[in-house]
Parts: sequence; structure tokens; C-alpha cells
Amino acid sequence: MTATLDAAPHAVLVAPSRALARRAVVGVVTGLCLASTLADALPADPTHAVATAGAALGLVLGAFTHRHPLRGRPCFGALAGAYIGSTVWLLCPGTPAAETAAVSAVVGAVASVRRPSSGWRLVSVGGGVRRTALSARQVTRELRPGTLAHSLVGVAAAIAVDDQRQARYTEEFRATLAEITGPLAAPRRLWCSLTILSNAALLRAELGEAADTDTDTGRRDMHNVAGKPIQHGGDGE
Amino acid sequence: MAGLSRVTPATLDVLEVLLNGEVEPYGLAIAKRAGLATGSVFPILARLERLAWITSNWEETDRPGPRRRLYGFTPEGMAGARVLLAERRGRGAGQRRGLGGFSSAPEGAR
Repeated sequence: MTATLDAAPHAVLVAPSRALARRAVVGVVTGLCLASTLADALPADPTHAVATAGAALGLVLGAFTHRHPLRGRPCFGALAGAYIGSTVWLLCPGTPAAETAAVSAVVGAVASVRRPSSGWRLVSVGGGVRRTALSARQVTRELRPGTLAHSLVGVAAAIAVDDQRQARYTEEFRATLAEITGPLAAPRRLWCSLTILSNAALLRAELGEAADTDTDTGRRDMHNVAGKPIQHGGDGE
Repeated sequence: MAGLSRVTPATLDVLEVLLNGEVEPYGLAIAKRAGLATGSVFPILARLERLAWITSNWEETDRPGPRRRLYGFTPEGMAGARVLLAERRGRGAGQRRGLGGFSSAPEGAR
């Protein structure tokens, strides 16, 4: 099925629907990670509001920048660029705001000009009718709430824990999704997965502290009350 | 066992649900009962588990699909939770009496 778009005069974007899903997911993940990071300084309720807004914004920007990156909507491209660029913040937490903004702007500009998705290509066409390979059915399939929800909790587990414990949390999150049944189960699962994803950074922090505690405990176990190391070598030592 | 360094209302809600034992103690049920977003429960459970207030195990079931992770108090965690919840009830009662939340916890809870 081919959809017709009111697109730019001389170029249209032909992209597989996977790219749309990918970009949307990237938008959501970015928004949620960003929101989670920012939310540390906020009380509990605004955290959820910010996370939800981040996710929604990510979805909208993902969809718009996919379909109209070269059209007369530069604001969407710019916003998406800045949005992507803002992930720099995640990589360098604690960086001064001015430097972060500068780096984010540069990365965002690069990201908005040079789209990272390799599945995109420009096709020159003539005439007023523009075509795209986007199929409504394909888009629907890729963005099915159930499919997306399972992907998102997988991403959440990957964000939250190291490789050893990832399987545990992936299974736990998927079991949580499986427990959601009844009317509107699919969108409720999606919402559930978004809340899990939005708290992945916090979960990571908690589990990171757990690892630190284990290390400290191990260190303490190696010393007696006088602060001297305990010899575990055996009688002969 | 270590004490909770920060006790949020959400943490107390989770502790209360676990203590009441009215629902099966897995993430979604705890979140529903506590009136919290599902995702926000897992960091709380992770913190409680880190502090050895609770432990978790996979459910034993023959049904296909992913298994649920069930949480339960350790004896120390249960005692700590009782103290914290008694303090909250004490604060609530104090506020209702117009004392501005400065009432102390019941004697037995300390």
C-alpha cells in the first residue's frame, strides 16, 4: 500500500516503517531517560508528569521528523535535533549547564542535519504527487502497543541493570506486562512499560548503590574490629 | 540490616501493602494496591531488598510465560516497617488533631 503525502517539491523521503518505529522508540527512550535524570531534583509527582511529557514529546517528534524532515517544518527538525542532542547530558552528568547546552546544540544540529537512521534515502521525483514507502499497515504493526511495550521493558532492563541481572529484570517486567489483562490491555501494557522505562534510571541508581554496598561490606568483612586485615589463609599462616 | 535513609510516602505505601498481605506480593499487584505507577515500585523494592528488609524469589509455577518475582519481608524488615508505619499513623493522627504533624509515634513503636 502506498500513501500519498503533500511533500516537498523535489524530494521525498522513502523510509521503511521500521525507521519510524525506531525513531519513535529513540524519542521515547531519550525523553524518559532525560526526564528520569532531571526528576532526581523533583518530588515524586512531577517526576511522572515530566516523564510522561518527555515520552509524549519523543513520540510526536519522532513521528513528525520522520515524515517531514525536509518540508517546511524546520522547527520540528530543530526540536528533534536539540532533543537528541540533550542526551549528551546523560553521558556527562554534572557538567555545567552552559557547556552542556553548547555540546547539546552541536550534537543536536549534527543529528538533525545528518539523520542517523541508515534506512533513509532521498529519492528525486517530479510532479506534485509525492510517494513514500510508508505503509499504514506496516506502521500500525510496528507500533502495536503490545510489541512496543515488550521492547520498552527490554530497554528498561538493559538501562537498569548490568548483564548478569538483566535477565531477571527482563523476566520480571515481562511477567508484569503479562499480568495486565482485560479491557484495553494493550494500551495499559504500553503505559505500564513507559512507567517502568521512566524509572529505569532510578532503579539503576538503587542497584548501583547495592553493588557499592556489597563491595563495602566485602571490604569490611576482610577486616576485624581493630581495623586489621583478617587472614583467611589457614592455620599455617 | 540498615535503616532506610529516606522514607518517602511511596515507600511507606509499599511497606504497608507488603505488611497487610492482602495481595500477592509481586510488582504489579503491589503497585495497584499502593496506588502507584507500576514502574515506580521496582526502585523502591530494589532499595528495600538492598537493605535486607525484603527478599524476593521466583514463583513456582507450571504455567508458561515469564515468572513473577514475589517479595516478602525479612523479620528485621517487618519490624522496621511496623515502626515506620506506626510513626506515620501517629503523624496522621496528630495532624487530624491540629498538632501540625509533631506528634510522636506510639510508645510501642519505638
